[in-house]
This record gives sequence, structure tokens and C-alpha cells, in this order.
Amino acid sequence: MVSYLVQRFASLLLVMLVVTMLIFGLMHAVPGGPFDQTQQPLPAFAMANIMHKYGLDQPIWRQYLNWLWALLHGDLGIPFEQPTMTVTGLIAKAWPITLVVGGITIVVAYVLGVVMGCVSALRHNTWLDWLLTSAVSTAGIALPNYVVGFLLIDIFAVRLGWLPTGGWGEPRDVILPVIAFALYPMALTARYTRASTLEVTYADYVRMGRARGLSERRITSRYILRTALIPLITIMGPNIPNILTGSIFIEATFALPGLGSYFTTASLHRDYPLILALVLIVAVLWGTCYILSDIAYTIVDPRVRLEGLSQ
Amino acid sequence: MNDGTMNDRTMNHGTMNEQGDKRLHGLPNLSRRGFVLAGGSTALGLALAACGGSKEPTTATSPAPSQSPATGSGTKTSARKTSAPTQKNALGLALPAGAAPASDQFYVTPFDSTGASYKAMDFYESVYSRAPLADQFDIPLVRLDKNYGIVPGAAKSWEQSADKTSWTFHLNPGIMWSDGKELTAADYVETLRYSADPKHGWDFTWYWSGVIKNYTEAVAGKSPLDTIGVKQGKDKYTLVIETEGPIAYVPYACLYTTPLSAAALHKYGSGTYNINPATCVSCGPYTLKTFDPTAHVVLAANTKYSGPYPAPIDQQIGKIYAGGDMLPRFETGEIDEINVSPLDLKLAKKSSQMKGLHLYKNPNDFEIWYTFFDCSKPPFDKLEVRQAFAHCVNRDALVNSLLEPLAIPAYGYLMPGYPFAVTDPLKPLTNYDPDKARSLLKAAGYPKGQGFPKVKFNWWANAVSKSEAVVQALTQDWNKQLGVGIELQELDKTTFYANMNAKPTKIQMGYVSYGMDYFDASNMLGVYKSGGRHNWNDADYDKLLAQGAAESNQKKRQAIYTKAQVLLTKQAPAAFIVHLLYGYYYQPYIQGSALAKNKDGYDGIQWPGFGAMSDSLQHLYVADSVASSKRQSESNLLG
Repeated sequence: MVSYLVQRFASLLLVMLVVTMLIFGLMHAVPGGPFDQTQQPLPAFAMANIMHKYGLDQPIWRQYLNWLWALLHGDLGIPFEQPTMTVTGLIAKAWPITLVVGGITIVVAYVLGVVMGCVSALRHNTWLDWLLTSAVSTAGIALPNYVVGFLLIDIFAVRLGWLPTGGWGEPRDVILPVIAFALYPMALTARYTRASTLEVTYADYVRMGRARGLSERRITSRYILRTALIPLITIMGPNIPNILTGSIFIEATFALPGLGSYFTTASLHRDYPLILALVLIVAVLWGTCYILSDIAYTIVDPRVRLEGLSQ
Repeated sequence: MNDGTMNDRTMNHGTMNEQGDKRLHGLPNLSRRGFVLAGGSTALGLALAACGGSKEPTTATSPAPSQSPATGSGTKTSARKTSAPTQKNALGLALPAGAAPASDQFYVTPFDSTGASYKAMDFYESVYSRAPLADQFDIPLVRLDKNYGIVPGAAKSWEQSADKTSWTFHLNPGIMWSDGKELTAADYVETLRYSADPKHGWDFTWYWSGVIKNYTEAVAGKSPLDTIGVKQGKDKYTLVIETEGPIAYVPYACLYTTPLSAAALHKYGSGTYNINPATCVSCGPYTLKTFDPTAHVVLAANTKYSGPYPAPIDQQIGKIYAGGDMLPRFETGEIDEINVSPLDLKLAKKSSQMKGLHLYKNPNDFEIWYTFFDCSKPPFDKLEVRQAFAHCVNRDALVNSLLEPLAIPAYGYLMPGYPFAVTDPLKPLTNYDPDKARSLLKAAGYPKGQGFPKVKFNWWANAVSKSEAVVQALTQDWNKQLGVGIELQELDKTTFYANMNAKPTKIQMGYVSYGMDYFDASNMLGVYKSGGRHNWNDADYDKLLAQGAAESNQKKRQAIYTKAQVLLTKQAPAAFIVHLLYGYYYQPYIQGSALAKNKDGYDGIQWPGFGAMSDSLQHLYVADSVASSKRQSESNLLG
């Protein structure tokens, strides 16, 4: 197991190196630089002064090596968007907000999604199944989260005055963003859970259990749900990095000063140090989540463990 | 200059970290059970709201009184009878009758940080990366009143030398910085030298290049900083600005002479000392209280203020939002003013809380949106082609169908009301006349558009100007009426400006805006100077601009600038499309003569906004009706 993990994490490091090289090359290939948004073109000497100040007058390969060397020393650079901060400081300030909202969203979405999916499957073809599957799940998948966000603000903040329109600082600030953010992963989880549960419900070993006279409760909890939830690892795992890195729509709609908006603004600003840092975060999260998903499979499914690790 | 990118943020690391920690500590208090209960109640509320339709807020609030545009809110307030004793604010200034107590004298302005970069609080540290509420810690030499007239700032008077190559400004003595030092000519001298320092890499050096003597050479590192033409005169209260030649508009340009403290500049090495409350040095009515570029900037009253222009508002709060919809924030009392787009206007008219409010309109920075052409290459190197496109713009229909009431048709580069702007002589040169456009295109060798090359029309998305809808309408008309094949291509803003500013330009035709930097025709018309923003070069035009800049007589200047506008419109290096107006709503309790109509009939806070460069600071206050409003408390707003 240890050598397997070492191998996987080593390959992840290699992937990150390649990804940063690609991104570095791509972002410099795109037209425009971080100081090109001025309405009047800057005189050449003024622009040269600014480029020199930020080290952008050096060859690209040297800029990359400088960045890599600084990274190895724990320095991610200075973001052009917020030049009074460090990239590390900016992420340390913004990401916790995204993590709190994302973390609660994951819990809410996955718990409710699994419960809804199970209830739908166990009561399939009833009005409850129709309500949960057709109405809630379909709406959750079809409605963009910013539309839901605007509706929630209009109802609960503007009309009812129960909750704030957005912002950050009080526990109640997370309620509307989490509802809007959780709707899609909850709906997705519910639909997959329902399908998976239904499939298992008619499996031979379940029918065998019934024939043996086992109680319905035991069949459901021990035979159906335990097996049905295994495929959900495939759905849930990869969604986690998406949620934990925030949503520009949710954060903009609810004025959350999280990390999500920087994924867009860093690109629009050609904020090279911030782009690279965000890419690193995403690469690490995705790589780690896939590794953890694989490990989770080996734990919950003995067949995967035997085949995977023995090889 | 103002295209919405000038908002900005900078910060005090200590303050930000403390606030971040404090905020996060609150979250674990939301237990899972609590969350479920809250979720349940919201679900119940959703169901009730769905059943009940548009339920009014349950909090007890009085309906918002509508404000009369004709009388202005200041008149309305002064007519109110009140028995309250005279109240004073933190600066000891007597508040107007009907004003709220000093504790309510704060003003909340929203800022959208999307696409913004916040690193300074001062113009001379960075122009394009200034934070919300910047330039409040100083007094420029001159200020503007609501009629765009120059009024004294730190300077009480000024005059041009007999040979017209320098201007002398006489400062008010006794204006003190908060560190106990006096504001003198040295502060202006050191600030302007700092701006020219190549090591500083200031992003607005073009502004003084060609104006202040030796400034261009200093920025290029070819001349020492102390050789630029900004010097102390006969005493420390006299500032002399030497110019590259006779330049009449220097006092107008001096609106942007917001000084840093020379002593602080020497001590800290840059102007970033003003983003830290502990090191902020101010001679304005405010000082820095909090600097958190991801959440808010707060300015508190500078209790050491000794200048001549105290403000009734004690505290300013710049609420920073990373996008989102501002209307609900205004409706729920989070913010005191809102700048609305045409779409917002439609929604506001349906809102029970906003439909009674008066819409304030003004030109802000006299912004024009226009379609420029690459005049150096076919097909736009032919005058007739450019004129054909200019004659094929149905400006009135565009405004009426897409932008009304927040725009007016643009027949010239200068918006009516801007100094030396003319309209009537220009209309025949650019009016909507498809037949004439077709005949011009035929004369250029493209009858009915035959043989006209494929042209890409670049644009970038801007919600306020509805750029997407406008470029689609323009393209449809050109293709239909002229038989040409214009293809639209959207670019992100950075790419657009990089391609436009490239030498040679990489854009064949593009839709772009420009807003004034200072209130004189030399500024806006200077955009089309040879070697400037676009590649249309005309020696006669340059000559007229040089004459206009040097001429002191206003009548002669008008004649010169009229000729320049006629020449520019006739040569059609661009098709001028619309001049934008800015729409504002203010909460009913925000009152004062700063909101009343000006000589041109425009109301609301006029350019350059609620700050030290304008006299509006002195003429706005919070009325006592705030007590019955749903305005959020200061502690609620700041978290």
C-alpha cells in the first residue's frame, strides 16, 4: 500500500510540473499582458519601467525558472490583482471562506442526495418517487445555481427580510449560498443513488435473501444500500475538488470574498502568479481526490483491493 | 479614463488577517441541528412565498418618499420644520436642520471588484489600481463644483505668467497633515517628482508628458527628477508649474494634483503608507480606519482636520462586492447609492421599494462609445468608406430601443455640455442617411458592397453600455444597408486593449469608449492626436489642438475647437455612436444640494464624485428620516 501511494503521489508531482509548464507557456502566448488594460497606450519607456519592476522583461524560460525556484522555497509570488498581498496570503484569506461554504455544501448535498435517492428507489413509481426524482432532482440539475441564487435572494432577503443578500461574517450568511450551491450535486447524487439502488433491489442475492425470510429492514440496510452506494464514489469523489475550489457564480451572487472569482479574474487580468497558484491547487486537489477515491474502492470493495494491490 | 477598471484595493495585512479570523470563528456556532432548522424554515418560507406571491417586508418601515428632481433633495430638507437643537459632527461642523445625529452620518458606497485591482489609496501611487474611496487624504490644488467650474482647493488663487510658459498657484496657509506638518508646495513638488520616477513605474505618466517641462525626459530616465518643471516659488506657499509651452488648460488638469505627504514619502519610500491605518497621513477630512480590499474600506473623520472644507458625513464605507446584483443590496438598506444600468431600471420600476424614487442622471465623465477604424489599411484607408459607415448609424433608434434614458446620440466626439462641444455643425457630416452611405461606398469602389473585403468587428462585453446589443444592431444595419460582410468577434477586455494599443493596431474596427480625464476639450480631442490612441494622423488636426491648448481667450478657443471637431467628424476615423448617461438612485435619507440639478439640468453627484476633488463632500448629509428606514447598522455592514 505504501509503495503504491508513493508511486501515485510521485506521478502527481510530475503531472503538476508538466501542467505548470504548459500553463506558463499558454498564458504568455495569449495576447495582452497584466498592464494592457489602460485606456491610453502607455509610452514605451513607461511600459518598460513597469515590466522591469515586475520582472516581466526577462525571457519566459527564465521567468518560469524564477517562479519554480521561488515555489520550492514556499514563495508563490505577488498577485498583480492584489499587489499588496502575497499569493499565499491571498489564498490563505480567500480559500477558508470557500472551504467552509464548500464543506457544508458537500455534507448537505451528499447526505440529502443519498437519502432522497434511496427513498425514491425504495418507493419507486409512487408519488414520493415522482416528487423527489422528477421535481426536485430535475429542477436541481436543470436550474443554474445563479438563477436559484437570485430567486433565494429575492424571496428571503428582499421580500421576507429574513436573511442577508450576501456577505460574510455571520453564520446565517452561509445559508442561502449553501442551498443554491448544494442543489445540483444533491440532485445528481439523488439520481445516481436511485438508479444504483434500483439495480441492486432486483439482484439475485437480494431475492435470495428475501426467499430465506430475512427482514425487509435487514435486506435494505445490509444488502441493498451497502452495495448500491459503492458506485457513488465515482460520482462524489471528482465533484469534491469542484466544490472546494468555489463557484464564481455563487460567490458573486452572494458577495462571498472566496477563491472562486479569482479563477476568472486572474485569467482576465493575466495575473500570472495567481493563475499558476490556482492551477496548482486544482491539480493537487484533483490528483489527491482520485487517489483517495481509488483507496476508498479498495476499502469498500474487496475485489478491487485484491486485484489492484496484488498487481 | 474611467471605464470601470479604476476601482481598486490595497491593504494592511494585520487588519485583514484579524478580520478574517474573527469572521471564521463565528461559523462553528452553526450546528448541524441549527442548520437543519434554518433550512427547514427557509424551505417553509419558500413554500409560503410561492403561495403568497410578493409579500411585503414584515419590518415596520415607512414608504420611501419620492424626491423631486426639480427642487432637489436639499431644498426639500431645508423646508422641513424641526425643533431639534443644532447638532455637530465629529469635526465640530454644525449639521443642517433635519440632519440625523452624528452617529448616523455615514455613507455607504458599493464597489464591484470584478476586474479591479486594489493596491493604493492615492492617484500618484497608482491610477488604475486605486482602492474604493481613494484620494480622500489630501486636497488638490483645485476642485470642481457641480457645474464643472473650477473652485479653489488647496490653492486660493492661480495665474499664468506673462510669457505663458508657467502657472503659479498660491496655497492656503495653515492646512495641516495629521502628523502635525503643514501642507506646503514641497508636498506637490515631491509628489510630482515621485510620479516621474522610472523606478516607481507610475501607470499614468502620459497625463503630464508634454505638459510639465522635462517630465517626459525624467520618466524615460534621461533627465534627473529635480529638473521637472514643478518648483517652489517665492515661499513655501507658492507652487510654480513650468510647462513645455503655452498651455491654457493647466488649472483644469490640476484637478489631479492630490499630494502625498513629502515627509511620509521620504520616510516610507512610496505612497503605500496610506493603505495602513497606522501609517496613514491625511490633510483631508477623512483618515483611514480599515483597509480590507476584499470586503470594505472605511474612512473615519480626521479629527485633526484643519482645512477649509469640512464634510458633514463623518464616515465613509466602501463596500466591496465580487460581482453580483446590486439592486437587492440597495433594497435591503446595505448601500446608500446605486449606479443602475438600463436593465436595472426596468427591474427598479417594478420594485415596491424603488419605484417611487427619483432617478438621478448625469454624464459622469462624459463618456463616448464609438467604432474606430484602422485607417492605415484597406478598406478603411479610404475616406469614403469611413464616411459611409458613419452615415449608416441610426443613433436615435439605437438609443430609443436599447439605452434610453441613459444615453444620447453621439454626432461628435464631445458630449453636449462638455467644454467647447458643438453638435449642429457636425450633424450633417454624420447623420443617418443610408442612400448617401451607399453612394459614398460606391465612390470608394464598392458599389452595393461588391468586392468589400471581410472585416472583423471586435468588441468586449460591457453591461452598462449594452455593448453586445449595440454592436449587433450596428453590424446588422451596415450589412443590410451597405451590402458588406462585417463579422462580429468578441474579445476579453485585456486582449481587446492589447490588440488595439499594439503598434500597428491589430484591430480592423472595434467598439470602445473613452471618458474624460480633465474638464477641457484638449483632453478628449487629444485622443485622436497623431501617434495617440488610434492610427488616424492628420497634421491640420494636430495643429488645431496645439493652437487650442495655447490659446487663453475662450472665444478663440471655441472657434479653434469647433474647427477641430468638424475636421475630426468629416474625416471619420471613427463612427461616433452614443454618449452614455449614468443613472443613480440614492436612499431617501441621503440629502443635500450636491444632489440638486446643475446648470445643464443634470442631477445627482456629478463627476469627479463624492471626494476631495469635488465640493460635493460639503453638500451631502444623512437626514433624520434614516431612523424610519431599513438602513443596516454600521456593525451589520462591517461584519
